Amino acid sequence: MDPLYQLIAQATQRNMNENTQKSNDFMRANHKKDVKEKGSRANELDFAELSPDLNSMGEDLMGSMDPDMFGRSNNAERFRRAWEEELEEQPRQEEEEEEGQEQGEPEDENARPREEGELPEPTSEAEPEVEEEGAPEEDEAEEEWAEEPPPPTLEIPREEPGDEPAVVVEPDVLERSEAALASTDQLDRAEEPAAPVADEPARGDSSFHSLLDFGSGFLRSDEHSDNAELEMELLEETLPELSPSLAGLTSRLISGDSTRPSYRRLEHYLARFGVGVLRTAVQEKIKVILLGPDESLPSHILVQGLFDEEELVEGALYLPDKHTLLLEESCVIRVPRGFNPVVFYFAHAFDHILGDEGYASAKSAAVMASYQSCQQKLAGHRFADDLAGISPMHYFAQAVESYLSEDDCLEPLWTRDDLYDFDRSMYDYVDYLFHRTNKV
Amino acid sequence: MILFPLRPVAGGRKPGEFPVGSVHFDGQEVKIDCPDRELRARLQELFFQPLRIRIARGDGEQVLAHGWEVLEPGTEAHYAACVARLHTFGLVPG
Repeated sequence: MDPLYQLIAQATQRNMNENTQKSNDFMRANHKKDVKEKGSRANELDFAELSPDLNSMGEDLMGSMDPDMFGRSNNAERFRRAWEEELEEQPRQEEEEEEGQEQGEPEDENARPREEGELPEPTSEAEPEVEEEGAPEEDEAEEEWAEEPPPPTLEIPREEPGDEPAVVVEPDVLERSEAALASTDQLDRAEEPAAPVADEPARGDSSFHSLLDFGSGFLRSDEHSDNAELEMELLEETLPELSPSLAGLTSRLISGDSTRPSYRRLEHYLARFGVGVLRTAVQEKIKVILLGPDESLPSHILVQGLFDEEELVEGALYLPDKHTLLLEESCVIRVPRGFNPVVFYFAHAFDHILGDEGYASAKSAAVMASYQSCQQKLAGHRFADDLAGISPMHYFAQAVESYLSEDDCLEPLWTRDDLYDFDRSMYDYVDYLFHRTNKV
Repeated sequence: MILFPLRPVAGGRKPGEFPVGSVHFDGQEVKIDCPDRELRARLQELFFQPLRIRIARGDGEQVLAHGWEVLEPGTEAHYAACVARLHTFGLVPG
């Protein structure tokens, strides 16, 4: 290599190193300058040196969580002094105890001998051992944790004194063992009843019940209870008081035992029809007979001969010739399933009294038009089920039952929303009819 | 038969735009095609279980009454009654 070129390269390298060194020194000087300025702003404490993250986080955000601030309060200082005094006092106490033991050995002989199993009083031996004074202090925090006194323990002397070490037992364990010993002692006594266990808190009071636990307190909709009395009570609790006008009309309509809870429930079912409809029914001498708890429909005198022996009739029926509605008590008490028979058959009665001779639904153009539309399966027209499609009377009664339903049925066949969505014209007609009859 | 969901709209419930499945009865057995497992299980419970329907009692002139009849699955009447109750699941046949 050319020596001239080599000299030039060395000189260039030297200049570059000097420049780099100068820039580094300049940056270091600037950094120290910034740090000193920050330190003077923060109560003359150089937080930057203690905590490098502080610059990026911001002092105000750290607040009292700043670990560098720990130990600077007066309380911490006071605690450290108290701790040092305690450390100084402990060796003295140990020395005094040793001297006392050496001098007090003859006194122990005169002391009352401890019985087997008797528990000594807690001693200070169980206190934690103190680190040697000469040990270097690594960290104050670690010392604080290390010097934290454990829970007080007791020593139980063994039956065979001497070689075996004493067992260290915690106080709560001791209490439990004493209770267990007491119970075993009582068990050992022949033919004596076992000791009553300490009263445990009632499980129902203390244990947590999940909100999803519907085992008690909630009624499942798919459970069909046969306990009529219980259902009666449940229904009674939710019944509001009827207005005097409605109560007077229902009392004139219903014939039955007014003291029975089913009577009150029936009043509320009929009250859904409104004052105008009930007044019309009273004028047309409609009768609603509520059978007793021991009576059934097939055995009633008005029903005999109307059905074949094989035909099973459920709960309620309407006798057009006699303007009479017959209801079994179970039909009123139980939560209706599918549809509400009381409302359905009183709708038959309402339909019957609206027509002078025969049923009004069979003469109403609106009902017949909707009925035929449903029969032809036109869009926006549907029967609730096959029974509703038997005749315009059944169709009208089902529409009224759906209109007056209050979501109190289990597995409802046809709700008010269904009537509104799937047979709007019939809904509008029933709505108009009730508003006109009740003059709302 | 294609099944559509019922969607709540301003004027009540209307059939949705997209079908959720289909149900077919071949005279002996009901076949359900529904990708939604939960809905398919509910449909199977409806179509493969006995169903209780209302039936009219009395002649209509002297007495109006009703009774209940249980329909066994696998019949045309049972299938029709099940289809009529699809609205309880929020479905409507298309």
